[in-house]
Amino acid sequence: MSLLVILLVLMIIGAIIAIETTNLLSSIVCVGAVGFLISIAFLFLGAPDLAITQLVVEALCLIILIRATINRDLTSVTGDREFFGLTVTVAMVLVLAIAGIKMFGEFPALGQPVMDRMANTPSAAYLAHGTEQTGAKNVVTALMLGYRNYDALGQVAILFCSVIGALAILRRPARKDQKEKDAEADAI
Amino acid sequence: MIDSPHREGMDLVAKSVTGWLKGFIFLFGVYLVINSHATPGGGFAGGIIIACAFILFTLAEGQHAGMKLLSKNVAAKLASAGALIFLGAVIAVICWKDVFVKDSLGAGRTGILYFLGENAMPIYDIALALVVSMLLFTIFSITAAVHVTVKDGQRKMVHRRRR
Amino acid sequence: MVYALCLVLIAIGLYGVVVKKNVVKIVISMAIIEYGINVLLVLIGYRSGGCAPILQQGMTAATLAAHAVDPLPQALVLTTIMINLGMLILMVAICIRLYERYGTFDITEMRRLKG
Repeated sequence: MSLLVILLVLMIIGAIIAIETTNLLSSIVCVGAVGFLISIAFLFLGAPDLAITQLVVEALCLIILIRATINRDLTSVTGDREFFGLTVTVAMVLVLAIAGIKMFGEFPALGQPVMDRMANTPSAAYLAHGTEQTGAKNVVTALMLGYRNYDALGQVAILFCSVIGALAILRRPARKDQKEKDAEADAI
Repeated sequence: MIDSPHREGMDLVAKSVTGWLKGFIFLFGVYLVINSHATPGGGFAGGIIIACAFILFTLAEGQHAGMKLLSKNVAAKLASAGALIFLGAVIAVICWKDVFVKDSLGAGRTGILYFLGENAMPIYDIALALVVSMLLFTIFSITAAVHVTVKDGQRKMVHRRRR
Repeated sequence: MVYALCLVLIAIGLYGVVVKKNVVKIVISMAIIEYGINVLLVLIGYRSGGCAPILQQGMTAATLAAHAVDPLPQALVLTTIMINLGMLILMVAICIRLYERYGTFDITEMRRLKG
């Protein structure tokens, strides 16, 4: 358990560095480090599927972020927002802290999953009957593509929407629009 | 190779290493997709690793070689094909409830249908990997090909800067 | 205790989103919030001394149900990680467009140069 605490403290340090440093490239690399530590934490929490996925998604996020900023000449920025933003943030953080204290007053200690505490959660049934009903030894895959397949369908839809949205945003304006704009400028 | 003109992309060391590595990375991604029922992995992680193999090739050899390997039209069509396969398998399971279960089509089935085992999970895996890899390669090509240049006093977004 | 550290991670990301002026910093802070949420969800389903929910050699389904960690939060977090990737792609596309339109990543400048 202390290993998990050490990992989380390292993540918090990495997050603070990522947010506070002035050079954009180093903050992107720090986010990469935080993601890598999260992948190690997933390994210790018994989720190898998530560790692999988090690692490769992290690498892809780094590639996309660096692609956005590497050719732009503004790599450092100074100063913060004005006072109003700071007070709003402190208020929000206080509310989050109070909610958190109330929340893990209700939670039992770490190490007892939900399916032990509540009577008829579906997880116990998934673990007990998953292999014989779907033929997959990996219960997480059996869940995602066997019992809860609509989640994967929605996931494909979301990925399509985000890529089509990004393509639509980054599109070159059509030739006809440019000619119309030139005609307007000439008319004026 | 000593006298070849300077092509776009990285230098010779990176190109040689990538030429060897991209096959292995692609193979590992395919392995992760196909064996997702027995080992951790799944369609998402395998699909992203396959996309990474293509991205590595594009980074090392330059944008033109990447476009020639997998143009945007081909990638879009493959992604749509993967999504349609997924949807078709879901609808097939809804309409005819036992179409992919092991012994519903009679005894003695061999070949590709036996690979399916108890239900349609390999189909979902392969379709998912197809969709994810092609979509991510498309978005990488788009963000790689877009440059903001200053053209007669005005910022413009230019696609695929030519060297 | 560990939940408190996760909440601190989420709060740090929230601070970054609200206070920072650079658009790319805001995107990075969103990513940190998402990481914190993922870790919190997986921590809920953790069983101390438990094994991963994969049926291995010589294990029956009953022992798996007694020893494994909870697989349901893991399946949900797997989808969440991919959704975060999609969100990041869209936000980065918007950042590129903003830079092309205004010439800077600074949002206070964008507020001033209208039109």
